[in-house]
Amino acid sequence: MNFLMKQIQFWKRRGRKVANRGLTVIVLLWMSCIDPVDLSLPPSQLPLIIDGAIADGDGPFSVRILRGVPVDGRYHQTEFVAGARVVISDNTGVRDTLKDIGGIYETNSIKGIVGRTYQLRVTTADGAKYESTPEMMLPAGTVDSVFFEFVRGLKKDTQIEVDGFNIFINATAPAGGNRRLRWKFNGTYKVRTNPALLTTTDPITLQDVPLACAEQCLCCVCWVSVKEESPILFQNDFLGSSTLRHVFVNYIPINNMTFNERYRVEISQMEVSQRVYDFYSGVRKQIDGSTSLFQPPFFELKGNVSATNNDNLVIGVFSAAAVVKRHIYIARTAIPYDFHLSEIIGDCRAVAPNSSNSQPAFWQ
Amino acid sequence: MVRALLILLYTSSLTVYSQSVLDTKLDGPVKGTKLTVFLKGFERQHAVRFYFVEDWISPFSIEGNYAGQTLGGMLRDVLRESTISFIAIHEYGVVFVRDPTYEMERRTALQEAERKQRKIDRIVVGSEEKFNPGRKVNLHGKITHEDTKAPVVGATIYAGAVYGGTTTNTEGVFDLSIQTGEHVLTIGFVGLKEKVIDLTMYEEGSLEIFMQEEPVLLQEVVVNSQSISELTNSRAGQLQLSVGAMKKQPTLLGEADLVRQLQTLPGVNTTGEAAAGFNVRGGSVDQNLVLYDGMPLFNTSHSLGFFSAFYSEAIREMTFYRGGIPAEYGGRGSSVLDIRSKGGDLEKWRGNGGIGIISTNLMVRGPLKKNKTTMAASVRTTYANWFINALSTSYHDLQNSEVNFYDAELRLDHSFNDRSKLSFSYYRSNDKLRVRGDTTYQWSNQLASLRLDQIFSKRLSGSFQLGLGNYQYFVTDRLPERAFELSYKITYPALKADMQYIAGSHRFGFGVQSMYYDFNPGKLKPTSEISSTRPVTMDSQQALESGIYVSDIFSPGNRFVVEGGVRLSSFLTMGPATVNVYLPATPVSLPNLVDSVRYGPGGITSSFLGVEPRFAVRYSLNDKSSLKLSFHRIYQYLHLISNTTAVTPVDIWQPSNTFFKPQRADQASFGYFRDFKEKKYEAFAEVFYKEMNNVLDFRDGANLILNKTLEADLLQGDGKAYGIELYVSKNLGRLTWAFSYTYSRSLRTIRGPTSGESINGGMEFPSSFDQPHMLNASWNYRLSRRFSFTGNFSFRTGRPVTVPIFGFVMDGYTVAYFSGRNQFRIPDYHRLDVALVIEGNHKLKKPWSGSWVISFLNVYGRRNAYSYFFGSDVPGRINTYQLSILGTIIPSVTYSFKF
Repeated sequence: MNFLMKQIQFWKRRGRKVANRGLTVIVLLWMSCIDPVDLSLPPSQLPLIIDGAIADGDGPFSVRILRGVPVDGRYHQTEFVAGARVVISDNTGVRDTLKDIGGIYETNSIKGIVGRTYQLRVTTADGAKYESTPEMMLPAGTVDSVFFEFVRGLKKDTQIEVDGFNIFINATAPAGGNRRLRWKFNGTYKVRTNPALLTTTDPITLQDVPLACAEQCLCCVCWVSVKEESPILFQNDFLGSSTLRHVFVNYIPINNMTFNERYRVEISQMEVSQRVYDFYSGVRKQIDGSTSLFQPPFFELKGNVSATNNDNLVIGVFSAAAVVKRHIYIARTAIPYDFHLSEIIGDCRAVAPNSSNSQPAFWQ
Repeated sequence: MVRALLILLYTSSLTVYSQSVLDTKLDGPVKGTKLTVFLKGFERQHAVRFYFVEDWISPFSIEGNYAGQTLGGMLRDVLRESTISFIAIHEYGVVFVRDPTYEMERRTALQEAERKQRKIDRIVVGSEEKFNPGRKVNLHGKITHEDTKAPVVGATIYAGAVYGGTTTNTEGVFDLSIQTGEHVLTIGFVGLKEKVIDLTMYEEGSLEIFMQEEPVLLQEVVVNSQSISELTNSRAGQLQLSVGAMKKQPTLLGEADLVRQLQTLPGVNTTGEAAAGFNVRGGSVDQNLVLYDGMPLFNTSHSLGFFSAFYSEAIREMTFYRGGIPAEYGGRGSSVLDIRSKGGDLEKWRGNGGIGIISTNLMVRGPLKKNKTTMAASVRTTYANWFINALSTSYHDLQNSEVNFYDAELRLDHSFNDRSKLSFSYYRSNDKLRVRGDTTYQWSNQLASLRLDQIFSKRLSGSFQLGLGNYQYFVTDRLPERAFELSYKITYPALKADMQYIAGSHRFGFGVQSMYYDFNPGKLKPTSEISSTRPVTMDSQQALESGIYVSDIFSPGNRFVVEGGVRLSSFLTMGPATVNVYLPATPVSLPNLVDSVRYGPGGITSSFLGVEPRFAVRYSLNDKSSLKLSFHRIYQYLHLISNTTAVTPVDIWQPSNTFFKPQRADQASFGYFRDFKEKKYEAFAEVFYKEMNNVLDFRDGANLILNKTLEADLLQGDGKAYGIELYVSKNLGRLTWAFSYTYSRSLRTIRGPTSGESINGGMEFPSSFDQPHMLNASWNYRLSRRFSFTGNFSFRTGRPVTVPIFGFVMDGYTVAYFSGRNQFRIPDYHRLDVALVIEGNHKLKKPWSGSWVISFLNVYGRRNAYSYFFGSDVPGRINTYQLSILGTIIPSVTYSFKF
């Protein structure tokens, strides 16, 4: 039943992904069940994953090289692959050999310029070579406005879900025919907790003492980072030509954490190549379709990076896209009723996943 | 003692032989003389003695002119095909003997009927003066339901091992070629009282038989009354289904379900509890032709597959062919489900209804003009919506959801005379589903048909039908900023004429059928001023599917029944249409799209012609067992395009065209059928092999809706299926049961010139409904006259699914990597359902009768996996979950009534 609740929450968060999940909800409530299973698949050699991007501007830009993780329901620390030679070049002859920071590779000098074509080449320590298809950097258009609408969620007394805000944008796509836009949602909210009320046992004195970080308030204020659950993509066939109005991008639940103070929403817009678009479209289908009653059969995701001197399986995406951003803050007063906060006890970094106690530079 | 003497005489005829007397030449014309008179005269003129029983010989007359021929030749000719034979002994005597086998069988049949306390009707056909014994004549008959006066279609008429049996056609008519003389006919049909007729045939003639309903309703388990049908029907793979049995089986939320019952038959399976349709012998869901009063249905379920779209009370009979499909059917490769609706009562108004947990239904039927014009009307609707909204839930979205469905049936019949009948049939099913307040799905199927049944003569009859079908769905979204309506529609008018001609032991069938399809494969339009939806209209598609066929059922010898036929099918697609042009010798994909060609109205854009041989033969080894062999080839010109695990009502039907060749299905089956202990038990074993060409599959990640280059997202390949089906049942007694086991495989190969045009590298892979082991057991135990305990247990190998072999994190998303389609299986499926059936009293004449069915599905609450899905709560961890549709025991109760 716990899974069922999680499932419902999961659907709720995706307010507008409608399709055929509806009956699932009804059926689930009536008689169905969701259980974890252990597939116990035979171990397979984990392939190389290459994840890189270059945007317009001076950088630095990064490329991450890592290994896949087994499908066994257990957490696996990301295994970065260091020691590779990673080069990004453009069609004007500029080449940049990236510096290796433990498997994360950063550019030194190469700039992202709209209209130029970029290519990524990787040579791992064992001599295996991989390269991306050439990617032309396309203009991003503009995000004209970001706005929100309050939506009623589940009843407040259920303690399962609360009301929320739907986030929309008005945007303009680059002029011309076939457009493949991608948006990223970057949400940040500030959480204030009271770690002093949480005690821990001193191993020497065996006395209950406050958390060490509480003394100087090192863990009483955090900034939590949230991103979209699946890629947000623009399909040219369904919307108007260049001006996009009221495009839904994400849903923010209202709770004690998210509106502890205020919520910052930043939307990034970019146009990606067909191959990159197809890859993220596949990712979206996989994430969105995974819970559907009429589940689409899954399929192999193919990026734009391939092996050139070996038969190793590699999954890689290298994108070159100009990026435009726009942000807004949503204050707690935007909630159309008197929203009461209750005190949050504990280390804010532990209470809120994906959080940090250092204030982001963009936070105002 | 008499029997022993007969046998002794008969067997002695095989060993004693003398020719001298029989070689005597006849010297004068004897034509028109009674055989007894001739024999006595011959004795006076020659030194010969004839030994015979007067009653045996007296019916025979000498019809030919045998002057100059031998006595033996004349006798052989006169007694030809009779049970009388003769032997010459001691050069001066001729003894006439009678084969006792048939007489013994006849007596046994009568004794058996008396033992079962069956009423035996004695019927004499023809005049005794015209009795010409031993001659094969045609018995023409019609079987009618005594109460409804509706023809009983698919009833079996069994005349013993020597003459075999036959079944009634769609008009309830049968023809049987038997010898003049005495016979016992046993007439059976599921849910009706078995009829036994002690028949004396003097000459060719006809009879009308009325059958009554069994006073104890719902007595049989679904297939277990099929013994006669299975053993006497020439078509391997044909099953007559029982509406009565369907109603007493455990039901999901109280809804008797035809499709669920089909899934208990050997060779029929499904991908899961929430899947629409069914799979037959390794074929896909779209390979099933479902006919309602002769018109095809595109949607067979309500609520996305939870309930079938047929109201069981409105159905008169259902015939299911899973092999050896007769030539009159075409267009779908795997099976035919021919559903005929119930007509009105000719004499008085009747009604019935039912109240279940989520739906209610009502049917009335009666005469508009007594014995001439009748009407039957029924409706079934759900109150699931009320149920959902009344749920004490705190989930606003659920309470704002809507689940609605109904189906309605209307039938009018008018008999002009004994030879002409006009019928009008209308069917509509409608579904509406809205969840989360924004998007609504609606789909509906409508059929209307007008049919004239005409008997031109004793030998020639026919039916002519004009029909119109319509299938459509709408997806609407009412959120103003993106409000839209997506519509999809198929309209299909049809014409057909089916004729039957009887010539001796041959029953010829021939006919012509034509159906025009108008596809509107998608229209998207904004429905609010601020909607960001851009209108999209897909080109309509037009096609004409036609077929002509001829078939013959005949019996070469007493043991064989052969049915052969051929169907010539054609399919034309027509303009207005735009056909995309791709670079030659390159994959059909968007980068290779170079041009398009526009065809005007009526212009033929593609055409196909198919020759489809059909063949079925039954060989009776004896009166208890038979062998059956069948083959069919069928071309299928419509394809259901779906890229989901289960078929949904909002999938797309795609006609064959320049890019999509017609599917071809070839299937051969061979079976051994046997009954034991006077049909108390029966069993069969059947093997089949099926090959399918040009089956459609989708490319990885295909987008199918509003896709103007659909051909670039689909692939064609081959499929094959094979298996063995075993079945055994007990049909009599307080406890009846049926058990079936099927081992079968269903495999696909999609191999294109490039890897992008292949699936699994072009290697063979199991289809998503490949379930090698399938087992089904059902029973019905009569606790008393009014109480029955029924149940069903089913087991199926888990179906293939595609699972990830590893996961990875890309740009913050944790994603699973899948490799190889359908390379893993979900756990095996098994489920036990039970029901208690409480019937009213069993008086035949009563103003009102009611019955209760209390069901418990999934008794031990097994969580059978419907699908797997994958998710990640934190980067670096991938969890696998299984979704079970029925996660617990599901009780339900239904009250049905008749008046």
